[in-house]
Amino acid sequence: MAGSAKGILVAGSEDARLSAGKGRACVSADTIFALSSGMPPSGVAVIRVSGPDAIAAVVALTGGSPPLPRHMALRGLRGADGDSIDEALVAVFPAPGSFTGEDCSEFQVHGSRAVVSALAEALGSLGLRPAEPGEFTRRALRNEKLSLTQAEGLGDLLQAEAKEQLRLARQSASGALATLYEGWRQRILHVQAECEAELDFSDEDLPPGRQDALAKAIADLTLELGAHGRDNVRAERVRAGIMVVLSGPPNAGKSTLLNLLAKRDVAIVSEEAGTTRDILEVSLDLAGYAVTVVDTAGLREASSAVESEGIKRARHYGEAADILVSITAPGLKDAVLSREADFQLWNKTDIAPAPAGPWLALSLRTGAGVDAFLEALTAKVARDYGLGETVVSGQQRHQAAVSDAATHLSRAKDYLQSGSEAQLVLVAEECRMASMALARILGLVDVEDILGAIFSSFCIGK
Amino acid sequence: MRTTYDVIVIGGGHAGCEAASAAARFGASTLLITHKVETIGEMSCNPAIGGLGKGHLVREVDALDGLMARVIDQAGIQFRLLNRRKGPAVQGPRAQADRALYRAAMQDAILGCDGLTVHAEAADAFLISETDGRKSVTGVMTSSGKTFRAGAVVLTTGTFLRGMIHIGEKTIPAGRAGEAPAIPLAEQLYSLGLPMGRLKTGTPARLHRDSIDWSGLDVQPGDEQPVPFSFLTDEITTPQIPCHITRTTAATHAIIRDNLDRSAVYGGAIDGTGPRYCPSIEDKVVRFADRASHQVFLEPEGLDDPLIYPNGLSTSLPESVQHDFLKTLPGLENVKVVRPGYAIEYDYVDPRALDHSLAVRDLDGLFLAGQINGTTGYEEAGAQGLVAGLNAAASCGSSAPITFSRTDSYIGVMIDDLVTRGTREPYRMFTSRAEYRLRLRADNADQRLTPVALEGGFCSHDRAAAFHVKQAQVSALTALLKDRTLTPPQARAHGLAINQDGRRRSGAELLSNPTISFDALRQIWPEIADFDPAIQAQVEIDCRYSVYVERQAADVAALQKDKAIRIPADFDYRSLAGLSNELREKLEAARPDNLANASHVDGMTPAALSLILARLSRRAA
Repeated sequence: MAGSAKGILVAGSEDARLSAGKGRACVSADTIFALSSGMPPSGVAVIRVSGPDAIAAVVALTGGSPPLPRHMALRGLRGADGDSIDEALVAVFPAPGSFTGEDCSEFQVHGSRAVVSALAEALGSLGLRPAEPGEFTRRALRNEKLSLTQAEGLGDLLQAEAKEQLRLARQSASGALATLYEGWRQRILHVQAECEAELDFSDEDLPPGRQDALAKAIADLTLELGAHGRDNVRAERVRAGIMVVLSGPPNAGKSTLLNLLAKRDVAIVSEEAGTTRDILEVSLDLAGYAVTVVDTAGLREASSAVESEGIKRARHYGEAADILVSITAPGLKDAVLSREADFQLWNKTDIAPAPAGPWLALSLRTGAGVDAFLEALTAKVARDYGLGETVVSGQQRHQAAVSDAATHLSRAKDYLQSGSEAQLVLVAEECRMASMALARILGLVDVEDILGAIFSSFCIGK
Repeated sequence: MRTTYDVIVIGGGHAGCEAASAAARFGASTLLITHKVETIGEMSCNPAIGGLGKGHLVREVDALDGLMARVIDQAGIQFRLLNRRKGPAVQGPRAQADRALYRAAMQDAILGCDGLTVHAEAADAFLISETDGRKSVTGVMTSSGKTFRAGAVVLTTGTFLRGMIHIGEKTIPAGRAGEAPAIPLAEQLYSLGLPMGRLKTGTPARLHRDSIDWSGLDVQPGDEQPVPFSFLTDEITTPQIPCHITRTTAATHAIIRDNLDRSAVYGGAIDGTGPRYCPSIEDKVVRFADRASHQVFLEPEGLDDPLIYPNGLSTSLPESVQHDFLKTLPGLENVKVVRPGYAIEYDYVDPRALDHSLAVRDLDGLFLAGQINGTTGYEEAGAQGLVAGLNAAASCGSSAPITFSRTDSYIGVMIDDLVTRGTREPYRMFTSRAEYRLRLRADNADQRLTPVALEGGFCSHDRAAAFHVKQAQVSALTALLKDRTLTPPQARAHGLAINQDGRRRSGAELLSNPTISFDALRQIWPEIADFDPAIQAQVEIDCRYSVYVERQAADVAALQKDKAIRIPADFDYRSLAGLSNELREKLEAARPDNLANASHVDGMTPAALSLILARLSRRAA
């Protein structure tokens, strides 16, 4: 194509009726948020919010009235499901007395990945969206909140941002991520081209029976985008540490196993049943994977309130475990867990051999069978969490765009499955929005791209 | 003889007719200069109006009180609403025209137009004056040496600029078969330094009706209830006739393949760029070699006209080869070729030299419309003619330009595409070019655009009255549907399948659910049926797409905000620290005039946009 201007939203340059009123605050339609401090883990993480719902978000997450403007207050944050996110220092900055000139709010939370992503998820569920790079600055500039000197210094600042983006992008996938998204975008474009061909060239004798191929293409894309989302979650688990939970009746040897794994004394190991009342964790490197092994209280009828609390927590951990290892030993009752264990260890083979069953037999005292267990555990970690050559993204902005695209594609799939030709225009519209979502990461879509795809694939024209 | 006018329009084709009548409607004294009065409104290629995307343009021209829709409603001999099953946003009216009836109706409209004079002669040169180094067009000299002065000139020369017809190895300089090209004007345009390019297009042979064996051919009838183009037409009264369909065969393809080197397009005689969507039959056979057959519509050129237009067989092969391959199509075994098909090359002006009012940026008083801007099609030409005519008239009266945007019309999409991106193939409208097509529908063109005509004072009384009546009814029914509500249990009691979420829904909301029929609502609220069926249909469509339309409205609002941030023409990208050289060069070439346009410059980054914004806010301070 001839033009240099690209973009599906290529704008007209006219419209004399609208002019930028100098000094008048421009209120954005949507509310954005971003992690404004360094990447977690860090001591404190600062999440900034700007836009019309910035203060309402504070009310929603804290469940109370917002603090006085520009005053810090300690508040508990809860997500939509009522689960606690964190205790945070919260501040609100009503417009125009804020960095962007819009209503702003700020959350200072503990700087863990889990807290930051839970908060981001909660903000997202309120209808807020992650900011595009430079978007806060852009809003601040639009509302003339940056002074002359600040504006002069901005060049350097923004360039630093760009370099950082570049570094991050290289780090994450050395371009592989862009290739992945671009590949999807191209495939969505082709789906769109198929629809557009049906809509714009219905009078031509297009080859028949393409509806099935279209449905399959959309279904494949939906699956892949969904899997990518899950891969990103797995990647997140790998970064945070895979949680291996040891569970079993008292005196089965859970703490001994933990110590053996850690090669140091972290749990109080004794022969007296019910010693481990709290949860003990040890982090270790298992063939390159960060693994957190958690030792839980022995599961049985509690004899004290403290122990009872420990058992409750043990059950909770057992549910949340990435890998659940249950241990038992001769003469002990099997404790019931509500989910199937990944490994069932029979300890103390030096006392009695394992009965028939799916047992992995070992003796923590003699060390017999321990290596075989470790090998099996390592293999499982590698199998379940090894991402191999899979390209993943840790960036929330990417994740939001991918999940956005997946939502639009799944709607497109529904419209297509309705079998009504009248919905085809909506299939095309959803595909357009899906490819725009990916284009937000990559660049912009051009309608010429779509027409190009149509003309290269079909014989059009009378 | 009067020699001074407000506006002169050169060319009596589809762009010229709309331009001249629009300028006159706007209140300008207007002169239309054309070779011959008898060819005003000539359909020089396919005798059909409308289609997908194109039908939208015709409805929009009509909504702005243009001529085309009313003319085709008088001349149409086969009406079809395309994409009838595919949702209202992509439905396009199309009609086969009787060429003689079309010409006659258009000539009536032009000759009967108040404030419009027609002068039949070739225009040879512009009168140009220069003040302070800036040139302006002040009038036109004709081939006999007469001069006419005007405040603004609209040039609509179609393919007359250095036109060259190719039939096999033969080349004939011409505008249209049998008519001389306008070479002196083209040379003057070159001397004025306008950026120009070359395009090609083609047309099939014309066949004699009586030489075709119609007995074995598929019949393609028109719609039983023809849907008129104009919002003012109640009923189509012209007799309706069907088209027929035949197909190319293996023998056709073999003949074409064996003679490719004799095709002007494939033999290398032509270097202009042809359209991808309207390929010659040579192109189809080469590029889609796996297709055993291509469909050909046999379209009558009129009720009494013996000519048949074989739509789908555009070619530049030698006459004898054309005849040979035509005979291999079923029904055409004994075909008589009245006129061979040909390819035509012609000059066009790179439309990036124009602004959104279709005025030439660097030459005052000159507006361009139609094929000269690189477009193809009567509808694209007519729509541009209307915009150029209005703006030529507005510029004489010192009124503000009347421009359209991508968010309000296909006209806006087309002009924006042309003036910001240019084109390298003949530009044709498609619905997929309109990103807001769920809003920009053929059915609501009047609601979108007639207010513009009313506000601009170029809308006839009849249309204004009809519009106000319709608008009042649409508003009343919309209000009714928003007012009537159902709780989920009530909806279920009426047999409507919706989520039992306790949320009360209005009739309008219920309609945004594709599984709920309008009939069901009519049963629940019988007062809906008191409204005219056309009004009901309109409101139903509005409700069906409301969710998407609202989402698109949010996009539009964001776009408008960025468009409101203007970048002065003298903006100094060179002094912006932190801009890459590549991007700086692109920005200097594109010179976007607002932030939204800047954001669409190839390779634009958020950081670079912020830099531009920072500088703008510093300038403003």
